[in-house]
Amino acid sequence: MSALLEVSGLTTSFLTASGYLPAIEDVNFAIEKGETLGIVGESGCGKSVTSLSIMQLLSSNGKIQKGSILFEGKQLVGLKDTSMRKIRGNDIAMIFQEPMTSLNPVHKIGKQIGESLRIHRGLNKEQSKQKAVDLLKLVGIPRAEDIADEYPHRLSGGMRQRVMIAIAMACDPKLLIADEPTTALDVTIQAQILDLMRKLKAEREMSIMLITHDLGVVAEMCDRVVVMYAGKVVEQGAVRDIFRKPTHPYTIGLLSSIPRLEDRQQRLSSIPGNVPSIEVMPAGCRFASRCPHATQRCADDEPSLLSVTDNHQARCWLVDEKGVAV
Amino acid sequence: MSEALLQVRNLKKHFPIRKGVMRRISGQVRAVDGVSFEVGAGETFGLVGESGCGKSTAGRSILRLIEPTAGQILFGGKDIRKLRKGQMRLMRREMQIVFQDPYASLNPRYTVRQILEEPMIIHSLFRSPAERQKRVAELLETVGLSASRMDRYPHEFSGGQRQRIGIARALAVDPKLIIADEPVSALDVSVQSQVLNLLDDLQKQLNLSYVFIAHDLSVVKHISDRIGVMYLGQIVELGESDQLYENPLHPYTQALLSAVPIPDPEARRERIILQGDLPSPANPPKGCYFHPRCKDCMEVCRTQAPEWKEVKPGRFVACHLYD
Amino acid sequence: MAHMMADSSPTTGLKQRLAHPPTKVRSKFVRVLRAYPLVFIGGLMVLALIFVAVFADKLATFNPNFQFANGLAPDGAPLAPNHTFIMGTDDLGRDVYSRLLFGARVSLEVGVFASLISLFIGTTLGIISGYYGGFVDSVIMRITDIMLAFPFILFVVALVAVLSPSITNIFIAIGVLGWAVTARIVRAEVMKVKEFEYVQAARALGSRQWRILFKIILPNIMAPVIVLTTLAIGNNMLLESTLSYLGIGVQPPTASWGSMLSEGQQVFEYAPWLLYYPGLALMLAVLGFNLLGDGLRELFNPRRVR
Repeated sequence: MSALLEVSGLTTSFLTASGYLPAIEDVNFAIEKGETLGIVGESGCGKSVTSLSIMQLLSSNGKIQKGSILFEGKQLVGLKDTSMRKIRGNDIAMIFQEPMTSLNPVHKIGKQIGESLRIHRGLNKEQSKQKAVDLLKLVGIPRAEDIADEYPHRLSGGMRQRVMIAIAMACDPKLLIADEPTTALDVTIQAQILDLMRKLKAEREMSIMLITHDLGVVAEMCDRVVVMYAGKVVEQGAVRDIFRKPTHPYTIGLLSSIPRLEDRQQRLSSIPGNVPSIEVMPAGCRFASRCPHATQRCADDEPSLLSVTDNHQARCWLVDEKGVAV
Repeated sequence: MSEALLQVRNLKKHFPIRKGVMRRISGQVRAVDGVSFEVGAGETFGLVGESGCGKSTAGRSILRLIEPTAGQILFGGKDIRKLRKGQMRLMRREMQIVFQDPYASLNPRYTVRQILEEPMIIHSLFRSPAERQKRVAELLETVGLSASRMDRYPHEFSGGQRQRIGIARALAVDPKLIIADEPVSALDVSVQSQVLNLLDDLQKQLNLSYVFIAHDLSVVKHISDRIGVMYLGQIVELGESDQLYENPLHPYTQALLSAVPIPDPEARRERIILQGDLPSPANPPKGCYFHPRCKDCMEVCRTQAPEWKEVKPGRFVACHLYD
Repeated sequence: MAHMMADSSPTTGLKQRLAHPPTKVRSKFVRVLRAYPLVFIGGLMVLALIFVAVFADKLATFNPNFQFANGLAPDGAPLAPNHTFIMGTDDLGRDVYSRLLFGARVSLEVGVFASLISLFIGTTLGIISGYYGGFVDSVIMRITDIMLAFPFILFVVALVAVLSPSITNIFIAIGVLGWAVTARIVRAEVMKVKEFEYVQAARALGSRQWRILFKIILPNIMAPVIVLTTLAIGNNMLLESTLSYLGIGVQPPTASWGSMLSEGQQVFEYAPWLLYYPGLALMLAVLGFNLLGDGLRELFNPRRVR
């Protein structure tokens, strides 16, 4: 079976004071049909740049320099904007972190949901309005008929995120890219939204690419995980493997630095230092300067993604040396 | 616990809603609506709740950065609401605050040295420049930053380092109590744990008391000795942090705890998904504020506000289930 | 840059090369110059104007108010530009070039001082309004509304008429009446800045109010105020020439660009240079200040310059 989305060798650069510098480099991953892939990492690791590259929504100072993005076998890199627009919002939909600013405040909610239906499906005003109400019901908004005639400012953050999901679901996308969809929401509302996303995914057999920094959300939602650090994929594998047998020292550090509800109080382990900025990205392993296991080899040569098991890879020389988890 | 360092009794902060040309008061937002708790010396009290529950307003009211509407704030037995302006300025040496946003909380036009000298100048602590510089260096080392960087501006530091500078500024006046208002919410996980550990170390070294305000239950539980759970301006449950987690009494606490995603793909548990949104604090529901979203709502909850009572030693709850 | 590297390897003593050899990072001056050439063009124009105004007496070839007997044609007409009078003479036989230089002095003086007066009044009222809010704010803002709604020229004309026209009174009039926009902008900035947590932190540390206002808030609102003042200088120079043109500005025989335009207009048909030179000077001066102001606006925008 070929993957729904296949990203390989993706390098995206941004213009800085010292010329074009890569924000993500040589990123590889695939998303299968009906799968939820989590992309995890801290701020600045390049996870949002990855999603914007796929959607071809990079700001004017950013460009894809290398690599390919195959969606159902079709190359998206270098696609003309008119063709990309047919895919965007239709086959691939996206929801963002900020439900407060992603909706247009001057249009009624029903109209905003219906918009992509009018563009992609050629529905008329009446039909798109009816479909909008159906979609609002689908995402669990009470009094859907009334809400369709309201403006966004009348809704709470959680409700707006539901509306964003309704907009994303309008054309039955095959892939939903969710960029930190619950980060701005409270935990109880987050629980509602995650629940809704799970339900929709099961009903519609769509794939989800979930970008988040929250390992708890990953554990609950994802089938497979890609861990990114400083613009590179450092580890990927099935969610169970990543949480049970984390192999890259960064993944291990990340997992052990989150406070857990069930633990009695104890000192948290933490990763010293900070993520290097793109102007001073070290050669060799990018995590070496913060890594407790680093050797001179790590500083000199960058490891490639090495196989830990069949479906589990880590970008770390320790895998090479021991062939097993540290 | 002997005499508590900080006692907050029935603290209220109501914001008037003004309407029309004459700016007549047409209603009240009950941001904080009768909050009571105590913090002992060297203790951490966690205040947890969702956005809009009034936890930040409560924190700022305690410091009188926002003037409270009613209630008592006893610090070392003295009611600070009764202090005059000059006395209050002196009192500010005893209680400090650390903010959430490491970008907005440091003056972008001051160097780190100027930021840390500011409190010393205000309170005439170290008169000579040499002494002040020594103290600035000391403070930076205390929070784990190199003193060689004191003449740099805040934008040259990362988020986590800025938060350390914010903590150093609070420490500059040798306070007994620090109100930490979401101090790690804006930070990445790995940096968050660095700052939590730092707060922990400082508490042990300096015997500090913390009021730790946050929305993240796992973080609050990790750092706090006791926790108060806030909903719509009120504390609905208060107790020792492990007990509160193991045996939550209030249905809201139960829902809140069950909503936290567990970073373990094999952990499965019963999740209580709350229906609906937080009601507006300008127009709270009748009876128990939580009743429209409560899974255990009874007839009495719709009409009568539950009393705040101690159900076990040190364990308080406001819920009709425990009448 | 070196410190960032030192910072990122606290655990390991490993020396690491950089993945992307750093291209030479140009100095901020060069980067700003490349990104915003307008600041420099505007800045040069303004500097040139200041130079001319300051050294008018050195640069001038003649006494600007002297009526040369040989400055008029036999039929009494002004002379066109020639070797002696490089910009010609006016209808009283005075040297246009020298008058233009001394006129720059007057124009700049009025522009700068009027703007400073507006700046002072506007900033003071704006800070009070924005920081204290409530009733004081309402009162100040309603006065501002009235100032902005009133026909400005009419107001200045009335005020100058009462004060009697002189350079000092002109810039006082323009300055005193022109603070409303500054007050508005300062108020909006103060309201934004005072919500920042570093202001809250200063309060929590026990800072007195004056300290918060002048040592913390004021420096953080200066950028837009400087831009506004730069733009206002050009604007006020225009206003001065309008007033002089209307005859209620600088009084004869003192030269100002406005009065030169006003006088030149009467003989424009056969001596067009009497309008060209002061008109061009005025246009370039105002353009210079506007370019500088717009450039500074860009420069102060922290997100723009990388």
